[in-house]
Amino acid sequence: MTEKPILPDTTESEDRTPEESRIAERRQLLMLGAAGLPMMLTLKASAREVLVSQLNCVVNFTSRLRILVDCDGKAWVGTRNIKYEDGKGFKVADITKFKDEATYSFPAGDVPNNWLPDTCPIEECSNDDDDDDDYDFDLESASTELDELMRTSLPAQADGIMLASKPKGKDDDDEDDDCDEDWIDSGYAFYELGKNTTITPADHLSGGSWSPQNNNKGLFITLSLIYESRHGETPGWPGISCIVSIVNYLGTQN
Amino acid sequence: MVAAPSLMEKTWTSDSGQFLAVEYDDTYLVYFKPSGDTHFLNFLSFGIVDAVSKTALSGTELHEKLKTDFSLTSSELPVALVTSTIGELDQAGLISSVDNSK
Amino acid sequence: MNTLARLGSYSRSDLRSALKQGTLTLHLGPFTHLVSGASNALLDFLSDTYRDYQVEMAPSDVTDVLLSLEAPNLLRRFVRRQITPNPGFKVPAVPLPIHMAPLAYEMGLNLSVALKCCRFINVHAGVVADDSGAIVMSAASGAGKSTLTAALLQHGYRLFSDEFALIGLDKPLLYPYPRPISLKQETISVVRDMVGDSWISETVTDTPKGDIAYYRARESDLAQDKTPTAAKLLLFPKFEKGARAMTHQLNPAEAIMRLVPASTNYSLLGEPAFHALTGLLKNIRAYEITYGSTTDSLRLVEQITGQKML
Repeated sequence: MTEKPILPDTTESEDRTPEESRIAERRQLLMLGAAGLPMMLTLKASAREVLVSQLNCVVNFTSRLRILVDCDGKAWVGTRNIKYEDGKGFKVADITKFKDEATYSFPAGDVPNNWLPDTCPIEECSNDDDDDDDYDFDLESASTELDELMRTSLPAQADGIMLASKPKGKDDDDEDDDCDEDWIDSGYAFYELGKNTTITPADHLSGGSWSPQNNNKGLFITLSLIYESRHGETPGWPGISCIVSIVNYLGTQN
Repeated sequence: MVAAPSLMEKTWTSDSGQFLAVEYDDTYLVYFKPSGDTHFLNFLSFGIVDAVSKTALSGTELHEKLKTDFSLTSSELPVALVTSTIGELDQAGLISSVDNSK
Repeated sequence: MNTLARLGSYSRSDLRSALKQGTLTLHLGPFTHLVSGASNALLDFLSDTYRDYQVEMAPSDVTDVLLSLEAPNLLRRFVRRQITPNPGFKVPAVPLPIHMAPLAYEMGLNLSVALKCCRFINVHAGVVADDSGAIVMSAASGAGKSTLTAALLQHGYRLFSDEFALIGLDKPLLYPYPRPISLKQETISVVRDMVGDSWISETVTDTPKGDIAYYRARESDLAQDKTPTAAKLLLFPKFEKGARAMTHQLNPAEAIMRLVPASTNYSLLGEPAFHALTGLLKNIRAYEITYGSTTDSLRLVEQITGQKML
C-alpha cells in the first residue's frame, strides 16, 4: 500500500508577527462582514425553535393511498381498491391483486395490534414461532394473560376505515384454504387515505415521543417510521423527508 | 435604509452580569443567562457588547470607539457593518436599547 | 446473594432468574443499571459480551438507570414476539423482533444515559485514554468514530466510552463508561480483522441500523472504570473513502460550537455545561481529521499527539 501524504496543519503562515497577523485577520473579517457574513453565531438553548421548523412539515397525498393489514401484522400499501360488500366481506380476487401490485409491503409483526383486524384468532398465531425459548419462563401464565388480552386489547377503530374482521382460519398468505371462495369476511383490515389528505406528523408526537394516534393517519405514521428505520431517507415513501427530519430531531438513537 | 439611522441613533447598553464570556484567540464564546443561548462572537461583535456593558453609547459613539480601540479607519469599519452587528446583538438580547426601556 | 462479581461467574439460570425478576444490577463507570428482560437473546448477549462486567444479583441502594426490555404489548409477548426498551420514560423506539434484544438493550442504555443522567454533560463521542490523558472523538454516526476508537485500543489506549464523553460538571474531567463498542455494517469485518473474532459478538442482522455487532471491552478497560482523567485532545474524525489524510486545527470556540449540538443535555444543564465545555477546551487542542483508511487515521493521531504508535 502506498503511503498517502499527511498534510501539515496550515493555520499559521507568512512572516508576520502575531499582532500583525491578528490585525490582518480582523481586516479580512470586516471585509467579509461588509459583504454580509454574520458577526455572530447562535446556538439556541431551547430546541423549541428547531422543533417548530422541523415539525412544521406536512405530508400531502396527491393521490389515494390504501393499506391492507392482515392478522399477522403484515401490511401492503398500494392504490388499488378492494371491493367490500356488507354480509359478504372483501372480494378475494381484489385482495390478491392488491397484494400483487402493492407498492410497498411490510412483513409480519410490523403493524401494531391497534390496527390489526379485530378478533384475530389466537390459535392461528400461537404455535408458529421458531424461538419458543424466549419468554419460556412466562408461559405458565400465558393462557390467563391471553384471555386478558382478548378482553381488553381488541383493536379500536377510531376514524380508521376498518372494514372487516372476524375470527378466521389460519392465514397462509395468498393461498389460504378459505380463499377458494369469492368473498372473505374476516382476517383483513383495509384503510384508506384519500387524495389531498394532509398529515402533520407532529400531531402524532406527545411529549417529544412518537405516539401515533389510533386512526388511519396513525397507521400511516407507524409504517412511515418503520420504513424510515429500515431505509432512511430513501425516496419513494410519501413524506419520508418530513418523517426523517423529525426522527433526526428526536435523534436519540445514535 | 430606514432602519440604519435609528439603530445608530439609539443608545445601547448591556448587563455584564447576564452573560459569561470566554475568549479563545480573538473569538468569544458567550453564554447568555436569560435565554440560555450560546453565542460565538468575533472581535467586533464582542467589542460592541464589551463597550456598552461599561458605558451606554449611541451607535454613532460606538462606531467611533470601535475605530479607536481597534485602530481601524471608516472604510475598514463601515457604519453599515456596525449597524447590522448592533441589530444581530439586539436580536440575541446581548445588548439592548436604553431608549426602548424608557 | 448480594455480592459484586463478574457476570461470567454466575450460572445461566442465576442470570436468567435475575433478569426475569428485574434484580440484575450492572455496575459500570459512574452508573448502576437495574436491568430486566425475559429474552434468551438478551441472556446470550450479556453472558458473552458483558462476561467481564461487574454485576450483583440484587438491586443497589441507588440505581441510575432502570431498563426493562419488554414486549410492546401483550399480543407481541406471545405472537411474532417483539421487544422494546423501556427506560421508564417515553421514548421514540420502534419495537424490534425479539432476536434483536441486544440492540434494544444497548439502545435502551443509551437513551437512559443520554436523556436522564445529568450528573455529567454528555456528549456523543468516543473516548480513549492513556496515562497522558484522554482523546475525545466526536462524530456523526458513520464517520468512523468506532473504528478509530477500536484501532486506538490496539495501540496502548484503554476504552473510556464508545458512545458518550461524560464530562464532570465540577471539574472538566472525563469519566469512563466502557460499554461494548457498537459496530455497524462493514465496520464489523474491519474491526474483526483488527482484534480477532473472539472479541466480537454475534452479528444481529437486518436491524433498523443494518447489521450490528459489539466489540467487547477488555478486563483492563473495565478495571479502571472509576478513574476519571483530563482530556488531552479533541478530534472530529471524518472517514471518507479515498480521502487524503488531512488535519485542520479548530479554534476552541468553534470546537465547542460543534460539541454543543452533539450533547444530549447541554441545554438542560445550561450554565454548568458551558463552564464544563469551556473548561475542557482550556488546555487542549481540537482538530478535524479526514482520512481514507485506519492506518492514516492512526498516523494523524501520531502526528498530532507526537506519540509513536505505528
